[in-house]
Amino acid sequence: MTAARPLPPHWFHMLLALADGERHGQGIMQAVLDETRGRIRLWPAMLYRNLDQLCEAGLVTELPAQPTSIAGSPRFFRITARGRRACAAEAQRLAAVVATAQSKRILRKT
Amino acid sequence: MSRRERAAYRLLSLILPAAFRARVGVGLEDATMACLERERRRLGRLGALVAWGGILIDLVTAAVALRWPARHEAQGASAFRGILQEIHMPRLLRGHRGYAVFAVTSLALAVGATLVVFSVVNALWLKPVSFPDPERVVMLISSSVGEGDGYTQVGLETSTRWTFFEAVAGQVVTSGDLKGRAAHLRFDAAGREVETLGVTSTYFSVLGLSIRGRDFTRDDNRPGAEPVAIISDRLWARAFGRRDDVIGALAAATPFPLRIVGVAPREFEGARRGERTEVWVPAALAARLSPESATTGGDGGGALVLARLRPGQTHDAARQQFLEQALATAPVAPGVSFDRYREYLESVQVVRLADVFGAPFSRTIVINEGRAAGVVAGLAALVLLGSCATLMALVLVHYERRRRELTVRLALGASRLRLAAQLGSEFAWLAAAGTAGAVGVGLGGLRVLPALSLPGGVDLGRLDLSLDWRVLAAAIGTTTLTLAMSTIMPLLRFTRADLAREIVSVRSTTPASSQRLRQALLALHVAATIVVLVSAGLFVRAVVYGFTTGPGFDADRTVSVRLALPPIVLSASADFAPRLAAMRDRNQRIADSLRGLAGVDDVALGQMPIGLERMNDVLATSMVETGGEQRQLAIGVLQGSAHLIAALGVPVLAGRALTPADSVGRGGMGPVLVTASLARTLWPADDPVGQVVGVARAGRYQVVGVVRDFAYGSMSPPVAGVIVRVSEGSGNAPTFIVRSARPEAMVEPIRRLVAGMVPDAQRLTIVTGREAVARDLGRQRLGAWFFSGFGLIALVLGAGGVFGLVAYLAESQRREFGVRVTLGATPGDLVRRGVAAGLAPVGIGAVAGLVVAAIAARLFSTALPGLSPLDPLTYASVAVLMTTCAAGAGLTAAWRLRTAAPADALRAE
Repeated sequence: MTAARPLPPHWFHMLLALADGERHGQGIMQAVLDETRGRIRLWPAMLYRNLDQLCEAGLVTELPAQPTSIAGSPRFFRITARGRRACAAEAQRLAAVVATAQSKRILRKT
Repeated sequence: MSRRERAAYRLLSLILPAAFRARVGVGLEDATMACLERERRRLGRLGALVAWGGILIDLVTAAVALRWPARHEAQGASAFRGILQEIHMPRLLRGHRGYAVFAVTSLALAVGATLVVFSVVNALWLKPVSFPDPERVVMLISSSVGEGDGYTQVGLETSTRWTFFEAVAGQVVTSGDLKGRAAHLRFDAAGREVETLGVTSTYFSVLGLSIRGRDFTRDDNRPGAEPVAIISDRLWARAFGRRDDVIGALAAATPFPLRIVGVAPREFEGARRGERTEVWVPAALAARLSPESATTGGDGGGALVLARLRPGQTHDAARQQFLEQALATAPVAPGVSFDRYREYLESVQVVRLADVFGAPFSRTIVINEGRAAGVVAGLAALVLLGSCATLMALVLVHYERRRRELTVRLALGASRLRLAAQLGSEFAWLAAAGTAGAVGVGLGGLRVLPALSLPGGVDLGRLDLSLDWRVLAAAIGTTTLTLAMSTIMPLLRFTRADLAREIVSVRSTTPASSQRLRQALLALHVAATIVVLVSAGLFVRAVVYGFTTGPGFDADRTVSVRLALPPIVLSASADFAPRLAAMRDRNQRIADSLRGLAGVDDVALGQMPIGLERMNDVLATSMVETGGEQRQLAIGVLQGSAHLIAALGVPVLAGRALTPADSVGRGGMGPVLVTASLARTLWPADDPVGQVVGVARAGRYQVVGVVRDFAYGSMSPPVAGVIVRVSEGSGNAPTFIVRSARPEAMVEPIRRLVAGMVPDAQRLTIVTGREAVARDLGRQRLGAWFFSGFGLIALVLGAGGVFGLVAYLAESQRREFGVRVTLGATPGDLVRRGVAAGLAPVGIGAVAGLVVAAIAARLFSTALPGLSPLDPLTYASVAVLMTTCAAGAGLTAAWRLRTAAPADALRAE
């Protein structure tokens, strides 16, 4: 995954959810739902598959299990530096799109 | 969330690769359950249902992506996502809202109406009875009365049936009472009167049911035995919390405590459909609980006789054996010829108890209404057919308009499979929304239905009309079938390989034969609509006629007050006469108190002339004799105090009114009044006053006056006449007629007064004259509601059909219309042509429908008092209504033809 290539929207929102700190899958799902005001809903199976892919791309890393945790406890994830850069690049790209839309009076300036 | 949901998800998640499941662990399951819980909190059950849909799609998508990652990335994902995009109802709604709303409404109305009909059929015939081996459990009925209306009533003496049937079947039992006498019992724990039935000791064993606790024994039925009862499982749960220690314990009850000896099996609430029995008591005990029995002799003359046939014994064989027994040994009653007795016996049928409907205070009815069921099923089928025609027209015109979109999709390389998936998913959404709407319409209809019960017919309020899997299966099946029939043709046509070529040629995608089929369907639908609307109109007119002409007495100013009082017991050795006098005095005191109420003009002891009990009196004709001449007439004998006629507001036309001195005992030749029509029938040339008339099983009377005609039993069909006599006014179940200018306002004061005077009254029924008239017109009101409901739906669908047909013509023949404009046709000409094309099948259907309606109306002419089945106003109104609606729909659809331009014709070339 290169910074020049746009991030899929659900990846972008997952990375944004992790920008505040480490979260488990259910926490990411809830954060995305809250931050998008219900517009993007991640379903569990595809969420975990995408988390695997984000890990493979080096944008997210899975935290090692806590020594005190019991078997079957949820997996926690953290955004990597590369993930932050990719997320920032996507945000800038979207900001540029917004600026263009504003200059063409498609979108009002706030 | 439940453990069951978690288990279901675990099972479903097995489609994911094992390695993935192991890696994700419990997090996946927890996240899914959180998701489910969130949606449930937000939207309740619907939210959970939607969430499960999403979870399923999520699992399938993830499974495909994980198992076939390369294919998923290369093409599978886009194809899968594409199909998922197509399965998107809001998209369909957003783009084609009018089409979607009308299609779903058509489906919901047509299928919903069919569901209501099916629910009744289901409750009457299909739901299994709650006792085993129903083929062998039978009862005897006689069809000697009530013939012609599809109902059959029991007509033989209990003892006769018992004796002969016992010899035939071996195991016999009696249950209940058909003469309106019911046991009144109130358990303290239940908090209200419970439905109670008196039965003989082998009742449950004949039905093949085992009792929790113990069954009745012969000793329970002996005089002086301890009062015992078997209660239903529902009552056990409701009043006693299913406590085992209740069985065998003495329970506090009114009028006396009872020992509960057993509990009936769950689901069992009576042998007949319509029974909701909560307590069974021995027959002898039931007589003690019925105050009416104390004065009428409570011999159980109308009780049901049920029997369990021997193994292998057929119904016909049992009937034959019964007839042989009865003819060989039964003495013929005095005054009845042997031929008449034989005729009476030959009408006896052995019927399955599962085919019998019965409830307290109503006749036992054998549900063999084949003709009625045929009419209703036919009606439902026609409405469905109309729905199919309308939907087919809608779908065709809809896709005709979307031809450009379909062309572009094909040009961009969309496969036929993809196109079929799009159309299929749209239909699937319509089917789902239509089914939901149909269930909604059906539930609404079922809530209204019990209010429309027929007087003396099946009480729909006592049928188990709850939705079960059969009804839901019927809803889904009917909707899918309707939609499939309506959409299969467009689906095949618009996904054909040579569609593009046809589209380029701007030719109609529908051949002429299909158009003719749709026109024929529309004509058929219009004909059916006309029949339904004419039926509705006739019933509405009959109801209006009934209310405006009235029953002949002053129904607007009368209230009937019926009481069931505890019997007066003076002492064991007391004579019957003082007891009657005491009851007469008590009734007189109640009458005087009612007379003292503000707003009451008059009070008389006597019965309301119309109502179910009076109706039963005149179901069979009576032998009437005068001047040595005998004839069979449907005649009513109204009894009450001397001024009953005055309280009812019926004027005396000739002779004199009755006085208290005219009261004579049973068997004496008492002075009576007769109605004018009876006087004309019996003495057409002579003065009726002073004549003597004898009525079989009632007595001989001397006519002292003639009163105006009034209805007896029912307003339809009318009786030949009524004899009014003075009765002694005794009894534990007196009825008072209260005359007041504001009868509705008197109901509460009367209730308070009676409750204060006789707090131990076991029943108090107050019915105003208008309510009695409304109940009597139940059959007409049911007909009016039923046919109006179906008629309205059919009318909407018919109008939709015309709209669809004309709109389709407008779309598919734009080229022809363009040519016509080129040749000088004006927009008005085009619109007229379009409307005429749509109205042609309507005209043909309307004429056919009027002819069929005229024939069909004769079938129910007896339910149309004072109205001709060929009532011209009704027929003309319906024809105008149908034509106007069709013309309006056609005009709306043809309006766009004004814009047809020569360019359309040129573009086509």
